[in-house]
Amino acid sequence: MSRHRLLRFVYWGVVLCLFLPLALVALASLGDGPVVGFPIARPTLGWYAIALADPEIVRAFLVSCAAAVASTALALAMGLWTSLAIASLASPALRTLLLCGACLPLVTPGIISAISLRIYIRLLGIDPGLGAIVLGHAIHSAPYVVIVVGLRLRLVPPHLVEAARSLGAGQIRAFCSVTLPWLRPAIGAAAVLALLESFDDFLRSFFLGGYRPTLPVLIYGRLFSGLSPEIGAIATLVLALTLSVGLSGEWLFWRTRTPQGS
Amino acid sequence: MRIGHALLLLGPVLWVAGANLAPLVEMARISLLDVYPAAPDHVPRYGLANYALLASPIYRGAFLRSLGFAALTTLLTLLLAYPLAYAIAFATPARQRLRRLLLLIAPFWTGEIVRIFAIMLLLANRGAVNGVLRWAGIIEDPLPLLYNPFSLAAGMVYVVLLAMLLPLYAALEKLPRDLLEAAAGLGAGPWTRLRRVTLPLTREGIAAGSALVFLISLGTFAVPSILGGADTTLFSMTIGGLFASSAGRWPLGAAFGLTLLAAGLAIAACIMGWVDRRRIPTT
Repeated sequence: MSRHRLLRFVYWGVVLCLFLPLALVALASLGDGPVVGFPIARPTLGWYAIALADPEIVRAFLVSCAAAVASTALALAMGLWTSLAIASLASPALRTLLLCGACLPLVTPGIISAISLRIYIRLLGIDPGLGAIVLGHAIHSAPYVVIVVGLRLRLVPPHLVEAARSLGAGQIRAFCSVTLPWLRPAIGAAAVLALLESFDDFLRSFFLGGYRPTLPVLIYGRLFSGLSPEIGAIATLVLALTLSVGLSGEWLFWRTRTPQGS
Repeated sequence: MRIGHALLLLGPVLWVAGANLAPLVEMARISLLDVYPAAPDHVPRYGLANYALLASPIYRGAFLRSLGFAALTTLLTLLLAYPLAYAIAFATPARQRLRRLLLLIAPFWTGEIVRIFAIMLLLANRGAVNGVLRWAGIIEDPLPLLYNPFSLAAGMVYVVLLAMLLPLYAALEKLPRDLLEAAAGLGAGPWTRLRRVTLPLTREGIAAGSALVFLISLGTFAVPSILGGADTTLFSMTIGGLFASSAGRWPLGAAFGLTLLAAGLAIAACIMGWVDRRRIPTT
């Protein structure tokens, strides 16, 4: 049993090590000087006011949100379509082939994904900017949708669809009133995942962005000019946002794994 | 029916070809070009000259360093994640497993940049670690913890750990517990059980996690750019640098990118192949 105690000790130690740096981010936002240094003598909330009044930051936040929403919509549409197409194939070899092709962006290392997209948008005649970022993020997120939705698609009870069909529903009607509602939690979980992937993404935004940076790109730039509490304040707000979005997504995802939840 | 099915397949096939494959194909084409963007009267010539430049010492050093750091990151995350995944799968009551796993996943919802900033706050001269050490009277001057191989490795592990943890946990969770009990009943001690039962039966998870982490580590750009030092330039930074300026140097960057991708995929394939070769005989 002492072995188990040791393992639990390791577990809580790592949890602490993972959360401690994030706690430092929140702490840093209270810093009293222009450069963060621990310990903080006189904590202040003033940096939040400064950060929120900075038009550059507000604009970057809005760019990030726009990119996240638009790329998630595109990734959901293509991911859902792809997982339905995969499920419709009779041959397992073809199914694997399409699945592998659809999941290719998952195994492409970040820098290569970013530069190949940068080259590609030039071929397509798209200028660097929000449109390019949306496309790049959607390409990156679509595989997650394919996987999460695909997991649940395999659990659709066939008798439900058959029942709908025998009651006279057409294929499309049966899909809309049986399959789609069944997939809803998976679509929700995939949407949250895609939103987070886009909102947090740095690499693709960095190489595909134009003059208006997304929030991670803005923070990246400022990290080179010292650790200011203002970055701490932005990062803390981002942290709170992503943690709460992530938590709600996880809740949806675990519901997709149980056959009952719909 | 037939037409409907064709329509259902059309979108995804176009998407996979046009969005997933085409960027890599175009990158491969650019990597062979002598001049890009080509002047109107220039007839493009294709060749391998860009790839040959990898042999020059500056580039070769960064390339090999990237492979080395990716291997180091893979090893560190494996050593850290295996006991963690094991702790959740075997030393936690079944009801709490999901919650314990979630607690580990939660920090990874934050973006790469926020986590890099967090590591900087931890390791900077006026950061938390130096603050505590100075407060305790152990050191007078701050330790140089940032912008060196140490901070780079710490940052890498902090960014990629989850990609190792999840495959390992999935493999450990599936491990039949009665096998361990049988081994114990036959007199195998904890280490023998780990070596002869647990590790061999979770080999697929180990291979999947390692291959994934290796590929991700090769592709990180922000971590080495911010947390690395002057002597830890990684190949991803070299490639990124070639794309930061005008398009003139893109062919070289594309060639280097493809080389990195090929090397990464080849090593990942070797890691995965190692699983197949060492499959336990069933008899």
